[in-house]
Amino acid sequence: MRTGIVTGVLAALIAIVLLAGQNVESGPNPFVVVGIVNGAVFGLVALGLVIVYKGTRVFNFAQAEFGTIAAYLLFVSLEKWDLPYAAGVVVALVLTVVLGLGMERIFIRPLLNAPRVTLLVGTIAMSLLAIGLEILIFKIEPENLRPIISSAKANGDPAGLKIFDSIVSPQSLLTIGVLVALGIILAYFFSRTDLGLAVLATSQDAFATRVVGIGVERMSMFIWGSAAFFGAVAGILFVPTIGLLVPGVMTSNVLIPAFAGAVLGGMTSLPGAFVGGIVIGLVQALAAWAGGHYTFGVDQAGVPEIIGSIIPGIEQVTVLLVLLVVLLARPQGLLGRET
Amino acid sequence: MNRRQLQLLSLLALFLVFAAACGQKPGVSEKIEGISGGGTSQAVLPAGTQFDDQGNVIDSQTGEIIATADEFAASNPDFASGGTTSGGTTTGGTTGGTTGGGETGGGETGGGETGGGETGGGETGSSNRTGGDTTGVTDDVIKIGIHAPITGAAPVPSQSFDKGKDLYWNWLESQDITISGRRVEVVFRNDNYNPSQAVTACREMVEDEHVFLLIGAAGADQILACARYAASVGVPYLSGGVTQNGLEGLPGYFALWMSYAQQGPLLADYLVTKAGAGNEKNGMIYFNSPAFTDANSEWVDAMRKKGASVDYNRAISKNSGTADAQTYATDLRTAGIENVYVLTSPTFFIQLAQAAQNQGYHPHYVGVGLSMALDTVANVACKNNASINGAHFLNPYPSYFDSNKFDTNFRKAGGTDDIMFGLWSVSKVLHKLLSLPGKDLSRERFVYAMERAKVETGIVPPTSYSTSNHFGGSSMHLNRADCANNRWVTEQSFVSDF
Repeated sequence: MRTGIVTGVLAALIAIVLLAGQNVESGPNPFVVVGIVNGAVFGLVALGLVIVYKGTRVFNFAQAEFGTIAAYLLFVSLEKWDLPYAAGVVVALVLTVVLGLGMERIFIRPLLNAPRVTLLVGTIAMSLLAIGLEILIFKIEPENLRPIISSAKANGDPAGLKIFDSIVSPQSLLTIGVLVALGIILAYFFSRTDLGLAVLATSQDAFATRVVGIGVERMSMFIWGSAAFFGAVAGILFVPTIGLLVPGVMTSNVLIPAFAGAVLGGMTSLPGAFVGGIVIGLVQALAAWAGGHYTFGVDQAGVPEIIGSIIPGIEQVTVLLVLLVVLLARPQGLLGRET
Repeated sequence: MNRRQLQLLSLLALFLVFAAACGQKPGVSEKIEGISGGGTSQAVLPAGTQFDDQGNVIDSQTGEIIATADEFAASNPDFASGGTTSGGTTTGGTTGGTTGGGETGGGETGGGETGGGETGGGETGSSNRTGGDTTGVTDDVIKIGIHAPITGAAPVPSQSFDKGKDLYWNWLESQDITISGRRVEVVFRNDNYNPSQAVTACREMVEDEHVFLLIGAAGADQILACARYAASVGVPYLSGGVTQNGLEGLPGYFALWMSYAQQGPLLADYLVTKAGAGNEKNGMIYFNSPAFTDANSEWVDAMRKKGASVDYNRAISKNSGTADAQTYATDLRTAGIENVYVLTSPTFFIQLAQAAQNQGYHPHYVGVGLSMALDTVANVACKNNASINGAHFLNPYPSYFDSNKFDTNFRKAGGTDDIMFGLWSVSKVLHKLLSLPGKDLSRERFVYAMERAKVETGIVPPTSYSTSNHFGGSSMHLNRADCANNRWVTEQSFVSDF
């Protein structure tokens, strides 16, 4: 059954790519590539969401903000402390994980036995607090975080790989690679290692887990430390590609589609988060493309009106429709399992 | 259908006929909105009228007295008698009583002293030549309120607003220059690029701070929302030129420079005459908002009239983010658009330019308004491999780099960036406007004077208003993104055609 679903989803993705590719007048559709690149970022944040959900049964609204914090730390490391890029990345990752552990100790652990909805509200508070602190420390002026690999060559030409008439920047290629690698590592971790199984056991029955000698507090620390790490990786890879580092940038741009990706894939499935993120990215991009290329009726001046003008924000609407349809047909998500 | 049902139906039909017959007459709703919206007197006065310090009516060109204050009051009782209501507080108001506005009048500073109290009916019992709503005006202070999106749309340094809002007025004070003996006090609120928050901010400034007038510094939707609120409570409202949809016809609203719709043909003229757009592919991408539709239609019409094509024309969600920026950059690139008119938030513009840059796509960005042409926008976008280099935007004031060519006092007064220069420029315009009604400043006299005003400051392009035209701008500056220096420079000034 599960193999069938995976095969079906992959077949649907391939079909989307091929069909959309053939519909465009001038060769393959570059929006497919745009969708996959965007989806990779959604998938990366969705991975962090799924880890927390698997471990605590809580939607972590602070997940994306770990990314913004890491991006700011990297920016400070590079621009203020003049550290090499690699050292800056290490500093940003380590400090963000420390921050994640601190948040767990201060906000989450006292609420471990509280109702899940209390924890959920707690994560919203953490997110808002983080954004407030970013404004306080870094002000609201925008900064520019340079990428690990520049998107332009020395002569000004774009660097990167040309796929389907779309140039994928080196940073985006790196993001996709990291997403795939992390997805595989996590899938292995949760299915094959004792620590991974202990995390899952904690989420299912904390009391029973404690009885068999597993420290629930340590598991909680591990989960939140990991979530902070994945959020940080997403922020470090993503923010340089958008050209704008401002307080709350990851929450405002990535959190909602990442949530949609995680839910679509099944909140408990790591491969699901991966696939869900990509599907959301693809749906968004192709809906935006369709909205600008198909017309319906004419406007007052007699000019054919594009669907995108009739339905503003068609990409967001389409994503929610797809999510609705999938959840109606399969409430546990594409690859989720009732646990 | 039985007999009883038929009777019921007949009664219902009869009731509907009566209801229709007793309905509002055409125009009643507008009339009610105009007057009850604060109860401001909508006096219609002769064109060309202007006041001196004594309240006499003078010729705006020659300065000759056309009518004395008493003559004017006698012939314009609605205008002169004050008695307007603002936010529930009666201000001014002398109808010949022995106490006049003095005790009954307007709140803290309204009719009490300046209005009808002493000068008007209070002692003399005659009609009040100085009446009207004087909320926010005392013998030595005029309090004004400004709102702008410090957060939510544009990457702007908040300390620039804090310092810039008072810069001109502090400088004026240091030069011992007053507006009929008064200095100006500025209240500032962040509207967070959100119309409902803008209304909350404006309401607070009107009801708690008791400002004389309101100014919307930027953000079309927020300006639209606040201007409507201001009209509903009879408070004059000035803003930079944004949309005309919904603002036209508001009695106390005035645009301080050309609206987006007015700038559309000017931008089209620039594109065709200077940028070679007649032989290129042109497009527009704009936030889907009622405040931007007139800008879109005017520009599209102007382009077509000039024989230039519009090959891409797309309204996008105001909530568009980074993923959407990638998508639309791809869309524009695959459509081969060479000139892109961007009417979005500056934040989205930066993201779009970065996304385009990542794809090796470098169109010529053009546009209107002021927030895109801020140096902070250039500073960020230019660092992204000069993604907006050579962009051209019409702007109401010159770039900070060129500010000394237009007003040397700005930097001497401590101005250090273009946001401060923008606020300095608006303050300078406001100085001229607040001086028009003379010493007896009231909201009614201010609006009256505005409707006849011609203003030139040497920074903001000249404006000329009338009773039928509250959008008095006719020229703009043209600023260009100079990514070699991460800033904007002014390429042409006070241009009304190319």
